[in-house]
Amino acid sequence: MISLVLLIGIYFGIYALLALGQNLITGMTGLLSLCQAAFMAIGAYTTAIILTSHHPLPLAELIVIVVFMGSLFGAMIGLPTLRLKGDYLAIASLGFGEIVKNVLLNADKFTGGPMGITHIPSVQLGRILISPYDKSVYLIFVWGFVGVILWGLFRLQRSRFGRALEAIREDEVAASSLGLNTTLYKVVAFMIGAAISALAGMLWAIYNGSVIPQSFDFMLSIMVLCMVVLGGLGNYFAALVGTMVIVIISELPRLLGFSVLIPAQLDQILFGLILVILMIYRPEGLLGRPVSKRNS
Amino acid sequence: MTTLLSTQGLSRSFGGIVAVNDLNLQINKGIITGLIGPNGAGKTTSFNCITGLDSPTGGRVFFNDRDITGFSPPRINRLGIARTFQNLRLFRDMTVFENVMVARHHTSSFSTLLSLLRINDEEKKIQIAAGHWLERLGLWTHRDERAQDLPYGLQKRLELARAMATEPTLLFLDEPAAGLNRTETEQLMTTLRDFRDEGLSIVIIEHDMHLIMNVCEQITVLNFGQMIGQGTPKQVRTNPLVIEAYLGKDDHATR
Amino acid sequence: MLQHLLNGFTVGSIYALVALGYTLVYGVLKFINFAHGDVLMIGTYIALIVFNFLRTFIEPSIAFIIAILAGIASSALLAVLIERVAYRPLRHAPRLAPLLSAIGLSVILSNTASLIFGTKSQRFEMPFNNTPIHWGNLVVTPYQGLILLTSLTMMVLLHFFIKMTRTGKAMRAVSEKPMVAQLMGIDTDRIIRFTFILGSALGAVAGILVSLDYKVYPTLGSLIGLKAFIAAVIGGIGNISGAMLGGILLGVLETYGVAVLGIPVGYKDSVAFVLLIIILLWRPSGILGSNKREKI
Repeated sequence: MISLVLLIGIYFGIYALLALGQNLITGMTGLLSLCQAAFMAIGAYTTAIILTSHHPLPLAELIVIVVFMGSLFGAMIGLPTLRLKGDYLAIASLGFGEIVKNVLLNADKFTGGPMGITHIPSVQLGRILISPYDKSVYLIFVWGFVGVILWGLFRLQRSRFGRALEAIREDEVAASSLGLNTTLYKVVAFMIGAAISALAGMLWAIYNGSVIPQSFDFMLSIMVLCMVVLGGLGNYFAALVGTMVIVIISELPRLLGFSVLIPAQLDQILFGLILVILMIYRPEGLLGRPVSKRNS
Repeated sequence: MTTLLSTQGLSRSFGGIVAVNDLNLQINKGIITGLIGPNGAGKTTSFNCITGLDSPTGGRVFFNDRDITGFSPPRINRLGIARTFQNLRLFRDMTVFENVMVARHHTSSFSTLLSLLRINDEEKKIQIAAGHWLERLGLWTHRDERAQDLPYGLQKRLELARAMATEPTLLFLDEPAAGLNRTETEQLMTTLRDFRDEGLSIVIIEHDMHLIMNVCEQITVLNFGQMIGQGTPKQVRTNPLVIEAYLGKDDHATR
Repeated sequence: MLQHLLNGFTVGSIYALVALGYTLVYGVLKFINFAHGDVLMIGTYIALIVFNFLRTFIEPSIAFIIAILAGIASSALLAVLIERVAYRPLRHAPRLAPLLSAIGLSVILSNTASLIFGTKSQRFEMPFNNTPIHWGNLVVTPYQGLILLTSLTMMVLLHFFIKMTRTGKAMRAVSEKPMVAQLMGIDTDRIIRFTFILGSALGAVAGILVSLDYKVYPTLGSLIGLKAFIAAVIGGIGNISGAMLGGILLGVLETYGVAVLGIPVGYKDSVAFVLLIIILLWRPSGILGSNKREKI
């Protein structure tokens, strides 16, 4: 039982990172991005490839590279699309997710194709071995990341950068007329969100010991979106609450032992319903402030 | 009088509709210029083409003899041109103070990004500058209120404060007096004259003739996207084309 | 060479039909109907069920025609229902809300279909003899002929409809200047409803045609939908000729890419996305899109 609780705690932490990244992109900056799963995949596969290679890197360097890769891909998607209306990003991010999945499935030599990469080793943090076999240690490891990133995001929100993002979200036209290079801000926010997802991918890869393309599909991106929307866009703690609710919904059948009876589709349908119902009846989510009328 | 900004053959069509047609505007330095005309005459569209929110389908815009046609809004703002919006575009959920602080970001995008990593006294400078403009426009006591909670008159002032905080040399105002009562309009007029005396050049779109006639030194009149008259208030007031545009052709002379 | 052009045209006309659905709705509502692909998928399933049921006691070709009508009717009905329940309440909400609602719907639809119809793909048998015809150097199957003929006819009909009928003109009015259209007495709700019906009808036909060769499965709508939307963007979103052009272009380029340029088949689906990035970088309003910026 404890083991199961720890397991849920670890997944909660990993999903929390995804939700925080999504909140930065969608909640704080107002960009509808549908490819958090793809960024996670990039982080996961980068980790897998590096750690299973002949010269696996130590944890510190691994983190740097994962962050770099996430940001790089964030920039690659962001730069062409963020100059334009928000709707284009939604489609572009969808397409990006498809491409990533495509590449992961087809580029066998690098990615192991549909079978993925296995035997990902554990890592060392100083003298401590971070391995999936010691769940409590891993739990602390994951939540260490969550803590640091949460702190960073709060600093960001209170900074000039955060203020600029809020202005852009409120009214991009006005913001740009006041001299803000809105595209640059949006791209940077997007890159940070992508990097956070990539880190989540790294944690996932080490914990599961293997990565396969199917884990990082569009449904995961939807689930993450649900978490943030359910909690309340624009509020980091709300994102965590939303994550907790969604994780419990997903894992409850397993917890209570009747997961066999409930098909996976029911979960997805529930997520879809949550999105639709929330938008119509309570767009501010569980914890958000009622949304003010936007300048359209 | 030096020409600060001019347009040459400025045109903007939307599909079949010609909103601005071969406009040759001339804005002189250090004065308040009025831009008037019936609704749909192309005034706001011209503003948008000049300030980079829209790109003209033809013609060019010159600022200090420099071709700024098609520049992006942030770039135009950094050159010293600011504007307000007809329908107010405040950051509604942010405080009054924050609204004006955003206007001070133009110090440099890059240093704003660095602000992520370290505390620096750019922030202090921003607060001081923002505070100055709030005081100047009588908004200091409201600084912690949300923009959307302000009464309309104060919201208009906030919009102005924000634009001024970017320290422009040329300010475009789109119907700054719309919805203001007589007292507020008089205050606005005084404020604008003060700004002008301090060296700011101003262009105003307005329908309030009292304001236009008493504050502007030069007026340009548009109709159907073209200039149909320009000159001093007195000249424009007596221009038959202008009168016709506003009142319609005088078929039956009033006897 | 010409053969590839023919094949590409065939695939492209499918994309074009679906793309029209997106572009029509975007034209009147400035909104991406994410659920479009899934609505057509449901229509296709209904057609399949009706067909399989009827052919046991009616002549197959007649059963087929009835099945098509049934498919169109169900898609249209579903589209209208969705519009009324999930989109209309959000017409004046901040931009993210209807998008999220549409995404939620898409998820609900595809998973519900998966639950009801099963995840295994099902055959939709061609009710005619599909021996290839040799025409000079070209090989054409009656199936391809059917697709080309049907789509061409529908596109031509649509073109004249939009141009000449009152409803068509009303649709154009609503899409260009909704306020003015309303003031002139056009019942915008009715026009919007009609647009959804029209778009989903075209989509249903496309779905049925495609599944004759490929098969019916719950995620049929998703991939075609995504690609068709990209095609609509390439041609110029909101522009009807653009949707047709974009669709055909995408089909041809995909076919050429694999057959002539040697792009590995696994990456075929990524062609659309790469084209999207190119268009967004070069000419975001699309090939036929006008440089109509929004009036502030």
